[in-house]
Amino acid sequence: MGTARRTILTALVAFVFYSCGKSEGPPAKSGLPLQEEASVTAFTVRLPGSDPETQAVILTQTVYPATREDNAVGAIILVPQDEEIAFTTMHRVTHMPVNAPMLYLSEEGEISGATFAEMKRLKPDGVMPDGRTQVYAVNVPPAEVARIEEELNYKVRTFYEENPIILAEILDRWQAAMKSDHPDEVVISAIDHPDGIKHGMGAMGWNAHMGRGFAWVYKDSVPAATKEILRRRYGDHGSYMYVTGNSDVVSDKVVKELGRFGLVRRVAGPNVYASNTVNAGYKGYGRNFGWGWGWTPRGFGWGIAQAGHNYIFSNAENVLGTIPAAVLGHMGKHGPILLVEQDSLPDAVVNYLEMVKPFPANPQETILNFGWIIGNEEIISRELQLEIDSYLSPFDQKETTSKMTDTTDINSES
Amino acid sequence: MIRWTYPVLAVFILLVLSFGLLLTIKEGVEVAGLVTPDHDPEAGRLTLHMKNTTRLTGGAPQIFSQLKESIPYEEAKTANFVPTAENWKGFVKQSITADSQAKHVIVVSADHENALQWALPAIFYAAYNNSPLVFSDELEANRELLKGRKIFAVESGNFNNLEGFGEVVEISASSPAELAVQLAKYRDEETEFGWGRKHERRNGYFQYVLTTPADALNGLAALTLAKSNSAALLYAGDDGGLPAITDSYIWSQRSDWFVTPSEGPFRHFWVVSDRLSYKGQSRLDFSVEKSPYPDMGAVALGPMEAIAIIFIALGIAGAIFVLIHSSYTLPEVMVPIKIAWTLGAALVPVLGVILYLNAYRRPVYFEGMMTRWLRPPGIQAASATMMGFGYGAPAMIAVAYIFAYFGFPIFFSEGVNDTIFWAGAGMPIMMFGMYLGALILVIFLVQYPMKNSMMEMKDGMILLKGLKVAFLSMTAVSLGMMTVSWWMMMSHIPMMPKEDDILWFGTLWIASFVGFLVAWPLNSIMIRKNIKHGNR
Repeated sequence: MGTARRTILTALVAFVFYSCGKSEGPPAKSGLPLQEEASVTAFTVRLPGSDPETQAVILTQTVYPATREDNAVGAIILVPQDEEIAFTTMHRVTHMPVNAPMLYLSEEGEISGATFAEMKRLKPDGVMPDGRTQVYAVNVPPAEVARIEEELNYKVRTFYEENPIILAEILDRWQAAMKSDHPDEVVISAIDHPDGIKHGMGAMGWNAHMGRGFAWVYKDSVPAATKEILRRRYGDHGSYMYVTGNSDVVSDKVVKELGRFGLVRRVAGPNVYASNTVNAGYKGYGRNFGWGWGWTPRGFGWGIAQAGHNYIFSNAENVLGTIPAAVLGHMGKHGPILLVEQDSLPDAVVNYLEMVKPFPANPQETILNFGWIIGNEEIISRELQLEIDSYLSPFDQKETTSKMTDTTDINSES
Repeated sequence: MIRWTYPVLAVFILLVLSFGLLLTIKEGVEVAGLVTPDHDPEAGRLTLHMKNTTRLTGGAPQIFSQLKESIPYEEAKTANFVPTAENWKGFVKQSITADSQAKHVIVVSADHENALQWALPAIFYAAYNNSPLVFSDELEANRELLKGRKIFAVESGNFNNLEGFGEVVEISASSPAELAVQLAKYRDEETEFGWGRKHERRNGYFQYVLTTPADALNGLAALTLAKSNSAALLYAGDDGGLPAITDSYIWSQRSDWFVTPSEGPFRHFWVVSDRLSYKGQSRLDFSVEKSPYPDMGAVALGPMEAIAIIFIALGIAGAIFVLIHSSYTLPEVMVPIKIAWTLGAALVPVLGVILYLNAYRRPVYFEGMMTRWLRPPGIQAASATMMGFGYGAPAMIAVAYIFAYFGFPIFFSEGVNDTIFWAGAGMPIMMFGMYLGALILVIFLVQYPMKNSMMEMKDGMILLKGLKVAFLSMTAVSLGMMTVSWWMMMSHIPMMPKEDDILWFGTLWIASFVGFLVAWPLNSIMIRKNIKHGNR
């Protein structure tokens, strides 16, 4: 009996020690290719991608160290370098319970060596409410899917739909099956306006953060697939729709038509920069669904109007680099996307950052902001990074080094 | 008489749940379980920055020049030269602007080889707070400064030379890492000394500079971060790992969220030593990842997780008690009934043991050769409930675990869309699957053999009776169990727990308890209608 007890005890202790492992190890590798370019300031860190593929890889590496199941991904999103497809997918797939960052195919439509290596490094756990799917491949050539399945032994769910409007409808159905629910809040963006995606970039970040619905409209009409998405909502007002962009982007006629499916709000400013600062400060709350004994309130939008938050700064023209950066709003410090120019802060962003500037608030610490700079110095200059840092800092605003935008009227269109 | 089916089902349940719980414990305590000889997650990295950890590479000169260019604020300025082993004392003196109104003075050593390692945590606080700082070999020259102020001596342990200088608080430790943690937690409110960054202070935006004792100069080169980012200093080990004291502290610093994770505060690390391993940095990064209040994520322990662990532990202890007690003291009770009480007590902590004792501390009577217990109606109902619940509820959890382990299947074709979309959804499919799977197991491995041993009927009739009892029992249990598990997983807990989260087990454990409470009065009706019996 005594021997048996000792054996069991020894086995248990051995199990615990074996399970724990250790954090000791060789020094982290030196000579990393982009460490020098990943410049820092007190309150910002640059993630210096020069192209969308590299940018996506840097983002996954930043967010997911992948040393244990809990800091690895649930799944990986793989999409071609197509703005509308990537935007639609990031809206609906990233958030929990999927927990998936986005990687891109090469411009030739293949998985590059670096992306394939990153997929291997990420070692996805698989999504429990979706049969342990490890890769969501949207419009990925079958040969590349087969390569993932054979060489990485990952379970892949494929979506093949070239039309982003219909893709949004398919992803809505898939999400509803996975979550046993249709989220009643739906972000609406314009597919046929050249800046439709840019106006909705921040709202896409919210969806990557909170996993609500998404649908496309045309500037002057509502597609059938979108009507189908909206018809499925059973909130007390049907759908709660958040249209990204002003009436030049999504017409008032469309907003009225959407009103037949529920409550419509605009998250919009006079230009793409302002639309995204409005998004950062926006909060739509109130009624969603009540059934006598229970009720579910609505809570859409970051609603950040005070110090102590994180922001993702990206060049408005760097659309494909910005979309996967929404993963920084999904993990880590979380926070909205703010669009800037290569070397200047638009007035809307300056006004917003002045509102959320920290101040000394406690003898033992200070409320602090934090910012991610997306792209190398050709995409966002070092001078602008320092200027952003000064706005995020708790110190008094000094004369800034980079030139300000010459836009003086915040209501003017960019 | 069929005897083998009951232990077979019990062993199946035991194996599945033991596997699940052990895997949960293993994944909870492991440091870097995905790092194997075949899988190096550090390979191919382009930078070393992580979402909660910024890494500055190189030695003190590189770190100093990088931060000098990156942090231009007047308020964060330190001495304008690179600190070295020879000049570090001068660097400290020039970097700290003492507040003449300060109510405390910090004393550190500078007269032994490793003095900087021991002094650095205090230097960081002095730089942040503008605290007067005096080196222990310059006490006499600073007698006036020390006069009337509370002295905080932060050293490796030799405080003899401070006698006669006034009120002295000695802060010492067995290692620089321990001292750094002590100072990070320490707070003297009266004299405003110390960071006071304890676990209980949930609202602070805490940042930390992390170096190793051998790279203490790197830490000093990053002193500007104490001023700009309110960063306290912590130590990693020179072997690249995190000492236990540091490791324990960083997990206490994970902040929680109530509405969305975008709410503050956030915690952040600056790593300024090349010695820290990738595994160590990843652990740092993960330790301060924001988590929802109830569960606090892996490793860290949230309040709801603590409740779940206590609940499960009490259940397991109760089951062991019932198993041993019934084995030694109730030879007249049939093994299948003992198994039912044992498994049931595991899912109904405390109450299960109370009911078990209440059921068998009763007068006995005999029906033929069989011993029966004279019980009041309520205890009869509890006993009858336990016969179905004891096998049914743990079988449902075991089947649910298998579903979760392999992932829920989902269906979302256009045909099952709209109003019945939920029929293809993962959670309903899992719930239906766990109910059906457990029902089949209980009918064939419990109810059929039990009826077979008690009744002389045709097999078909026995199966039908077994089906009726199993269906009624498990449906009664499911009413409470399914409702509570849906509410907890889909609504109450902010992130649906996975099968390797203790909250997954906790949810089903608590849901089972409620299932028992719901089934209990319903079993009372079944006893009155002579469908079940409560005196065995």
